[in-house]
Amino acid sequence: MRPFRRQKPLSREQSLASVPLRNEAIKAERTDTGDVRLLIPRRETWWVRTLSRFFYVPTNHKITLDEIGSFVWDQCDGKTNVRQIIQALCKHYKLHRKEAEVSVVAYLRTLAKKRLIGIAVLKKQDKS
Amino acid sequence: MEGYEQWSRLGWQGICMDVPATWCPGRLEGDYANGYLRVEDEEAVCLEVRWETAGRRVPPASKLVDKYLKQLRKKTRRSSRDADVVRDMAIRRLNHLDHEAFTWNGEFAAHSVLAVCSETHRVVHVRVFFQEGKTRKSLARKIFGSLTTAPDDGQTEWSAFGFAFRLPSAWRLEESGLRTGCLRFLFADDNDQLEVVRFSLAGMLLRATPFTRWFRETFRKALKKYRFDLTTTEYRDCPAVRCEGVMRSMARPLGLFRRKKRLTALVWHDAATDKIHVVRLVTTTVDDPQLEAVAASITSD
Repeated sequence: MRPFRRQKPLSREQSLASVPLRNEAIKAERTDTGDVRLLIPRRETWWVRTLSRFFYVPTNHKITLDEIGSFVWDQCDGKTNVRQIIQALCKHYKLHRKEAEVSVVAYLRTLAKKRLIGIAVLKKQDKS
Repeated sequence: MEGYEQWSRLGWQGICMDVPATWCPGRLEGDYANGYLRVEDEEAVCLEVRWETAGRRVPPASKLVDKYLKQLRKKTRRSSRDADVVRDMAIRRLNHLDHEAFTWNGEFAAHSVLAVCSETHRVVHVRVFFQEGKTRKSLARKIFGSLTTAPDDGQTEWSAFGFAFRLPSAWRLEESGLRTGCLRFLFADDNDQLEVVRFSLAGMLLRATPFTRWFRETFRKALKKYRFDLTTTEYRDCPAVRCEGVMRSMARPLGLFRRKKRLTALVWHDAATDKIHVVRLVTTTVDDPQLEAVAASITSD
């Protein structure tokens, strides 16, 4: 039986080259102000189903992203990598590269923790 | 030079040098006496600076290099690879400092310069890292040649993340906040205080709030102790707010024993760079010109 192996942490280069992808189960709509509102379907666990018989439990949980969050969400199209998102943010909002990098990386980490996005990491090419 | 066409100035705790524009500080520790600064590009750590205050008698740079190399060899003794060291390199533009430049190529590879500043009694060690086989000698020499370790004409230059300003060297950094969207520096000189702040994303900050009200709310704590007036004006062709105030006090015998602290502040919104700059001075001096001098020296990308 193979021993359980911890994944090696990503290098900075790998992190910046990785591509964020939106969770397809989540729907996104625009508010009147142009911000993105995410509609997250509720989990269909047994206790949610039981509760919903007695109480009103919304079918969707809504999260409204702010202007910058909406901008980053729009960039997560499965083709744009993290480095390109940082560059786009710098250009659009006239931020310093480090400012944009710190906030984008933290924000993508939060979205990934909440399972709103996935991160595709490019494998290193075999030397052979 | 190695594709570095644009350069920017990096200045921290009185140590300044030119670095490629794509490099920016990653870690800042310590104070004026002892500290550490790390500079990175998108991929790796490129440069490190360490400084410490020497005692009364500072040994020459060559002896300090001897000591440093001895310590480094002890640390890397277990490594299978012997390090190549090239010494006795001088940087012409650093002739005003006692210095020695050397290259260490072992477990890590770096071009280094160790400089002793007799004016500030500090020893400064700068390392430019390179990958094996891809030496950055000319880049390192340019960086080392631009190094300054002492105030210029009594003024210290502070420059990081595209934000630069100069102020008299008597001011010491008390606090700094380097967060996304807000770079904040708080300096102290005896009982006086000087705060320099740059806010990014100014358009977003001021979208729903008028400029004057934004200043009042953002600096509510700092303004609490003062009776102040705000006047809208222009500064550098940008909308600006000037604040002048005096510390609130209980009944006091007409300031005989203690001068009241005065608050002056200048805030301006530069739409071209989408930034708001704030300079706030607390001092007992009436009509102190330092605020205007610091504000005039500010440059921001």
